[in-house]
Amino acid sequence: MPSKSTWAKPTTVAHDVGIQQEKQLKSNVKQELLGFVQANTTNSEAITMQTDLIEQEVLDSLLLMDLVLFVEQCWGVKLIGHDFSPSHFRTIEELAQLIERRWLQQSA
Amino acid sequence: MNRTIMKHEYCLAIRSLAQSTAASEPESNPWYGWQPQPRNEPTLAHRFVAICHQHAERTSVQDSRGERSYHWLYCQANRLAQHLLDHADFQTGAHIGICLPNSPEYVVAFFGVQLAGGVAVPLPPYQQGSRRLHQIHMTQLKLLIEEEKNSVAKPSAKRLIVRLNATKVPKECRQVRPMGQLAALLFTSGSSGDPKAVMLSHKNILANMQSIAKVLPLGSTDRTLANMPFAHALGNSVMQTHVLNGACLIFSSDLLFPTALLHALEKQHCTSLIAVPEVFDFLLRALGTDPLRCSHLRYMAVAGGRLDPVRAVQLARQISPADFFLMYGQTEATARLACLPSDQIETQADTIGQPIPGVDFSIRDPQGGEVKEGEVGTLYARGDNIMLGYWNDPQTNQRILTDGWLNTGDRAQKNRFGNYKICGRENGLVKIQGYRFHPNEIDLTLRSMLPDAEFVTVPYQDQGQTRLALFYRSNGRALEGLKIRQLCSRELPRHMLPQHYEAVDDWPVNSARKVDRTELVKRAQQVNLGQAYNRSA
Repeated sequence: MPSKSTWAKPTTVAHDVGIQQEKQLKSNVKQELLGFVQANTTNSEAITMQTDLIEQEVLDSLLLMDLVLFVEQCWGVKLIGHDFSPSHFRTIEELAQLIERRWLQQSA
Repeated sequence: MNRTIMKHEYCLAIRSLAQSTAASEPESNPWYGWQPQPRNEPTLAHRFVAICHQHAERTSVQDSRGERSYHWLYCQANRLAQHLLDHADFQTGAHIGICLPNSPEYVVAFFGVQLAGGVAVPLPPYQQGSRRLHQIHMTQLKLLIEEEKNSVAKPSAKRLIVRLNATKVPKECRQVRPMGQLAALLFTSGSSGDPKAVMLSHKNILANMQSIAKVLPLGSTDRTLANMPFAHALGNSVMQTHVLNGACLIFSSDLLFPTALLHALEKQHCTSLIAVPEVFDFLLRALGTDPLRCSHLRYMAVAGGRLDPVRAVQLARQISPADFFLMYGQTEATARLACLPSDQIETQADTIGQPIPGVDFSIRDPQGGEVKEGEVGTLYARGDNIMLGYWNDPQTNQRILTDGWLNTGDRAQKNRFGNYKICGRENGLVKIQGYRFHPNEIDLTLRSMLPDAEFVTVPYQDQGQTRLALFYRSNGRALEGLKIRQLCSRELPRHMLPQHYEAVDDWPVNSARKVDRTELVKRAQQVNLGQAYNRSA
């Protein structure tokens, strides 16, 4: 059965993360976020880690919600309150940083 | 006249569509039931003019360019109406498309069309491709009111720019007679997946507006955030109920983030927020467990879909002392049919409450007889807000409209408190972001583009949210997943875009030898769970 999903398959979850693993996680978060956003937008080629998702009108309310659900499902990170602000969702890089911070806090 | 338009100016364009629709359009009127508007019954234009005079000094609309009064609104709508009446392609009862984002200009356009005696046909502004063209042809639009800066329009297109600036009192619009009952056409998805245009009369819209004003604490001192798209039944209803009661509509462009929404509510001294469940889901996430601090807020109301009862109760507590209302409705009933008042949320949040004043409900068995209390049956609704019918679709109208009763297509039961509970749908419709449609619509659209392939779209649940999975099978050349996704993005409105795409070699079949949709739903759900599982394993 050629089962293909358009969602990039996230691969990392670890409980004790060494420095090496942490680096791995960081690059994976970015890659997976990028894959997810690309899979859910029209001109996926034009989107990079630094694309301004708000300015370029990539983010709409449905994608934002799906992105939040994806993050929760993927890394078990709960986003709350001021996490939902344009400054954290402007680029994939910035969102990845937020997720890493929350991930470290919430797994500590 | 050639000076450039400044950023803060209010401006519109009227585009003639005569050329694009003329070829395919017969001159006959396909609405077999055309009726003149009774002389003694008020129209939207009557009510609009009366409100504008009564509240002339009050703010009607507000956006980043400032506040504008009802006097301003009246002058601009009148100005636009004059332009329409002078237009060669306009005649009384003509269908006029309105393709504008939520803005003061939209309100001017809608009521300008009413003053001129036209029929307003709102089109979703961010939609492209064949869908828009289909809507234009289907409703035989003569003219389209759009943004002045619209880049889609070909340079050769006949466009008239209308500037909305002066507040000089215009001469009264000349009376337009005879005019029909029809005030607006709103697009919705039919129960079989083919898009339909709902015909709403002046009476429909005025009746629903008056009923809503009886259950919600709505008055001329209200200030509401107009964040639901006006081309959608709920957004349209928010616009009508506020303008026709002398209240203020606030437009803010950056409401994507719930934090921004909360900020805007407080900063703009909003007294109410009416939105679809998705907005409130998001709001709750942003609030966490904190109470909402919004000093002017009087109430919030959810409509256009089911809000999880637990969340409804939680939200009602967090926004207290402001009230929280649960509402139920559909485009075919202008907008809203039932309401659960704030004081019953704690115990009855799984119901839709009771019909609003002027609306009757009846739950019937398949033979058409009324069921006993507590039994589940098909929900029928009656009232002055029930549509005239679908545009140019007498067969469907005959099926779902009988003796003034509308078959809502929802299954419901009445509990011992007299409240109604929705128990599912009869026709496979799904609701995403307040849009009610049949997944089949996606299959039909793709099929028309790629006749060599088969498509089946099914809804599935992802963490309490309804999402769509598209399965496809090629009968000829292999299909590229990416191609299909791009096609979907181009041809479908955002709420119809599937989240999951999967190619199949053969369709799973059920005992009736039809495609087994239940199996497809299972598969979509499994893939999702599998992804979550992979990560936590």
